[in-house]
Amino acid sequence: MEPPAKTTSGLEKIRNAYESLWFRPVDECQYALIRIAFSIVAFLNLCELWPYRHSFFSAEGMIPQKVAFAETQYFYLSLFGIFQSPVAVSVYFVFSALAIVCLAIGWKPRIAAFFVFLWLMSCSVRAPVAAFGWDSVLQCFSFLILVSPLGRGWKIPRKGFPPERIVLNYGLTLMRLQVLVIYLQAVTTRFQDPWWKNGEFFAYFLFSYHSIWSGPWIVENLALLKLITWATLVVEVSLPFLLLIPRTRWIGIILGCVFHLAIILASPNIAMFSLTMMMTYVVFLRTDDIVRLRSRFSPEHAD
Amino acid sequence: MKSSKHEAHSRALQIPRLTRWIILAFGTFHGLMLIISIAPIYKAPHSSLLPALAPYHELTGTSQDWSLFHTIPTTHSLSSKMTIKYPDGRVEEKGPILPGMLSSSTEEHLRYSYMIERVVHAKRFEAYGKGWSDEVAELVKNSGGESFEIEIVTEATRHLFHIQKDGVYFKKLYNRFGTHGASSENY
Repeated sequence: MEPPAKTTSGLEKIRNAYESLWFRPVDECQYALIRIAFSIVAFLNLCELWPYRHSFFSAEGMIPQKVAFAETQYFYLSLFGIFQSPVAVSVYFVFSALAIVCLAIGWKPRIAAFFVFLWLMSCSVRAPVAAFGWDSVLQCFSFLILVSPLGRGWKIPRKGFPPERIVLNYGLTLMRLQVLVIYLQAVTTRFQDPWWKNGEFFAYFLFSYHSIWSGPWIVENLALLKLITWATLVVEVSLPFLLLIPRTRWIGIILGCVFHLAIILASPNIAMFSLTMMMTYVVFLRTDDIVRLRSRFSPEHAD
Repeated sequence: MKSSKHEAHSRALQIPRLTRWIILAFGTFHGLMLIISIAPIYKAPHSSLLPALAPYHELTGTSQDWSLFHTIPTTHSLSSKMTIKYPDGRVEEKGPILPGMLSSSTEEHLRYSYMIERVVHAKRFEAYGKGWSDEVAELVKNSGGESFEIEIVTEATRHLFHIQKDGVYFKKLYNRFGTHGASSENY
């Protein structure tokens, strides 16, 4: 018979394992890196949206406010409900750009993160018909950044890395889970699609307006394109696991970056999608990586 | 009860007990929400979970309903034009992009093409197409026009089997709506 002490120890292990998802101490630079990477991509996305601002978000555009309101299921939380004229929309864009810059440099980062979250939500609620998948990824990441430690110790103007500060890892856990969910959702829906299953997806993709490599060569190389379609599925199934397992995280990060850089080469018009997904890989960096970066850029803090 | 090593870390970081519980409750709740959002039972038609959890997913942007190439993209190119008829019989050609009645092309304006593709081909976004048409109708009326028609020309990729058979890659699909003739026509 097992002694009672062993049972307690087992429960203790489970409790420790669960608590380590939320309360493991990590270097706050991990959060700072995410904050900065996210801000860069969010800023690029804002720049990409700028030419469309009056068409999608102003009262003189193509989407009437009342339609956006009626089509919103629960909460119409969009500041474009207040800023309706073209000038007001432009001013709100500039304000949000400043909030993103503040978030990047770590100046009043919590307030900046709130306004960045509000901005992304305002856009997605006001013009969901014009929103791409990467807009949604940025929106849910902005929420997680808002509720996570922000890495206040690392501000861009400072040289090198700041002295080590310890924070909790609950935000990293939720961000990692979010990335895992993105890939799992993509893979489960693709496995139900006949074009992904029969391997013809990539041929159609190359014929679409997303691709710059459209041409007769596609039908002449269908076997190769089928292999690429299935290889894509294999990469997408394996990526979350490679990223999650500490020993294989760098294989996952490199594989994911190569995969998304290839997408940029084939379809530069959806480069924002690849940049957004590559940004999410920063959450898989570990304390070891930070220590290595620290010793490389700021040798006095290496220990 | 013996405190866990993470509780010890929390104490070292001077995290109040209440904050610890808030983090634990929020982390567990949000984590579950993320996992549930991709569970088949959640997205199933008539799911009773959907109305209960959708407000949280909408608020946090975590509904995970992005369409990152879940199926084949079939549009090769998309162009749009608008004709306005005036009471004196004059016909003017403009673009349907507001404001300014501008033209757009797939190469230069990805988001316009994406939006137009969705309002024309996706039932879920029908109301946005109607709203856009109403906005154009109002502008045309204010500029003294009698009626208008927006024509969307989609070059759609044909089935690979047919392409291999006759070497024709695309077929043109015409969608027209507006107030020329019938009040709204879409074919």
